[in-house]
Amino acid sequence: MGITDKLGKKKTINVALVGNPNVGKSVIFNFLTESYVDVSNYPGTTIEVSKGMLKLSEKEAELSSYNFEIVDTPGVYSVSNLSEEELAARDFILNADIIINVISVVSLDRDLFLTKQLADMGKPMFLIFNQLDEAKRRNLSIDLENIAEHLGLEFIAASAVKKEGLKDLRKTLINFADNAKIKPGKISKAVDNFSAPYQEMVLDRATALLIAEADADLAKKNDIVLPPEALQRRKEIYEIRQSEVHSLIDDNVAILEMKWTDKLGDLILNPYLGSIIAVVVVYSFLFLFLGVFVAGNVVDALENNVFKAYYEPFVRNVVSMVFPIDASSMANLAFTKPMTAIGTLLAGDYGVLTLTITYLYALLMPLVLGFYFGLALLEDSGYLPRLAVLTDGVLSSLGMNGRAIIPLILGGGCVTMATVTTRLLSTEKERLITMVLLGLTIPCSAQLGVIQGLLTNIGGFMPWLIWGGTLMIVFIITGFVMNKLVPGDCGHFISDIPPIRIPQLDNVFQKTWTRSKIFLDEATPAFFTAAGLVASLQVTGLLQSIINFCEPLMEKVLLLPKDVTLSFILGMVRRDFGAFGLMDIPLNAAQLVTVCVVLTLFVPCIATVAVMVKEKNLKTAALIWLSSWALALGIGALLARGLLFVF
Amino acid sequence: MRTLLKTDMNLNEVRPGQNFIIKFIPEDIELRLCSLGLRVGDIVSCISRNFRGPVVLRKKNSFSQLAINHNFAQSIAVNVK
Ligand SMILES: Nc1nc2c(ncn2[C@@H]2O[C@H](COP(=O)(O)OP(=O)(O)OP(=O)(O)O)[C@@H](O)[C@H]2O)c(=O)[nH]1
Repeated sequence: MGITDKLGKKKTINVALVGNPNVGKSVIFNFLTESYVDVSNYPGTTIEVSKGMLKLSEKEAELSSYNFEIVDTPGVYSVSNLSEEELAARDFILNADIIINVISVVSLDRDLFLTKQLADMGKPMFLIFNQLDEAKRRNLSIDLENIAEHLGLEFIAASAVKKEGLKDLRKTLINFADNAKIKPGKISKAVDNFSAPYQEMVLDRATALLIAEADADLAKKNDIVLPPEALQRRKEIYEIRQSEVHSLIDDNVAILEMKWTDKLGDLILNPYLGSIIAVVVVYSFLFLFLGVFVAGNVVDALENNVFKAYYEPFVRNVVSMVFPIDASSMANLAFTKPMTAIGTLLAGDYGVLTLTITYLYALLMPLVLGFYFGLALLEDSGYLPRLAVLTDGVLSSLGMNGRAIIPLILGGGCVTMATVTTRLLSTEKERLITMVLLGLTIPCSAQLGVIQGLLTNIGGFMPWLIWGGTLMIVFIITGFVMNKLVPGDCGHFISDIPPIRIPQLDNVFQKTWTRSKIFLDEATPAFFTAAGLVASLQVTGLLQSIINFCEPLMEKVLLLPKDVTLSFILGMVRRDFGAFGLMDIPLNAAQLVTVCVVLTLFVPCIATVAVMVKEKNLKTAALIWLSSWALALGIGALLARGLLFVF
Repeated sequence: MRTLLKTDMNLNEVRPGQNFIIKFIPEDIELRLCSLGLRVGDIVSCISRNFRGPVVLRKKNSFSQLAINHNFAQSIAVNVK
């Protein structure tokens, strides 16, 4: 328990934010701790548990006799040990001193079931009826006072995204010791009868209740053998709870009208109209917004009009005052003219101060910001769960289910982050297949932008069609074959669908910035290291030797000039490095499309491989890595020959 | 034993716009659906049905929607109103 009496130190109170998925726990966590965890309009955003201290002003800190540790628990519908998230949430609930139950007023009929279960646990508890703005917008009539009174709990009504109503929450927590606002709720009599016998055995009421609800894990930990009728008892308890919720809703909630956003949400789910909308959304986002606007206009303007026109010449001038720069005779420069080698390393073709900075800020940054901005809009609007519904049928035949669309789309931002997100999938089989498809066929945002830049240079829709079509075919065949070969179950899609919302721009901007920053913080040192490495290879003459060594593979197998070797070497480190210098190599249309396809299919970056090892094991990661080599080169060889007839 | 009425059908057969009562939920998903707010006796309407994909339901007097995968939908019996 959190109340510990360390010498001279304030006691720490453990506060667990508990609630159904998507009710606004993370927004409230961010408000209380003044930190940032991801907030998204799809169930299951919180797959990692976040902890933080309640941020107190100096005055508040003086007044408060406690410190408060806030835990943002994964969203759950009940705490019955049915899933991994429930298990994680359950443990935090059992350890908490205070439970703050966050409830969405728009889905009270769903949320109050968990509330009843938490109240039955008998822990000090407090309710936040959140998303009040949504209820007002929909003219929803709810008697919150009556509901709270019935539950025997105190509440605040809030619109967390607008920061409305949350000040009272801080006050309530800070004055925790002196007020009776945080207290156990009314315990259902009928349920109490079931848990009473266990309470004598385990002393803790919450644990006793969960054991009565057939929590086998807790029973085992407490040396209790569950009787054969335990599951039937759980069913009875659930029935009692659900009936109580039903009558609470019938007595206190009246839905007056559906809004246009609700109707739009329904239309998006229509298989025909929804598919057309999906094509329009993907086309507008990936092609028009990211490809044409960001990769074309923004990157072009930044790269050519700012960085190449002013920044690089300026750096070269400054560096050349001290170190000569030699772009012509690179080999052995390190041994023959060391000062020139340093100058070239700093400000030469692949210089750490020239190309690296241009790449990072003129190319990578706009692309990453653009991708995460678009994704944040899609997430916050509630579109992604609908896309999951639309794609469930197709993904099921590839060994996954609709939920897999979320990591697959996130992969378009960063495959490494998306690989971590595969945790939200429920079976090993679908996780493995999603991981493989992510590593193999999904380009990350930076790589996507570079590829878009290259394809846009060729002009027309044909290059796009060939690139996208090839990836799609590989995606489908790989998924189909793996579905047949990998044993196990691909999980079943049962999910609640959040309402369509107008995205909250501050949340969208914050999310875009936070995710882009994480990506760039990780990419920047790696980029500098890689640039330094390439420049070193260049000035020592080693680069040329490697390129010569790979010449047969490039020229004979992939029908590409040998200079492309560098892109592949760097692509192994980070996928986006694969474009390093590629823009400067003269390639014809067929070669450009081949390079784009091979680079996309080529091995996942080192960070993704590391995550695969962590999430699966070394053998699986190695197998995925080697297969992508073989597949990329095999398909590249075939495509290169086929494209001779197209362009 | 559940008695089949003339208007009984499986959930995967309902059409968008139809209202119906949930008659039977198999045991393996009963608790999961119960914690999501759906149980036998509930009045629901069908929002969409995707080919080999999920059926999306909305409960009467509720904004919450629930997507139930094709296989499970096949095992849930409903009575169309
Ligand atoms: N309109 C409105 N939207 C809100 C409010 N609070 C949260 N949201 C939105 O609800 C969605 C879910 O918010 P989160 O904070 O991620 O919810 P969560 O409960 O942490 O979700 P999980 O991590 O899935 O358990 C986001 O799109 C938020 O912008 C609110 O008061 N009003």
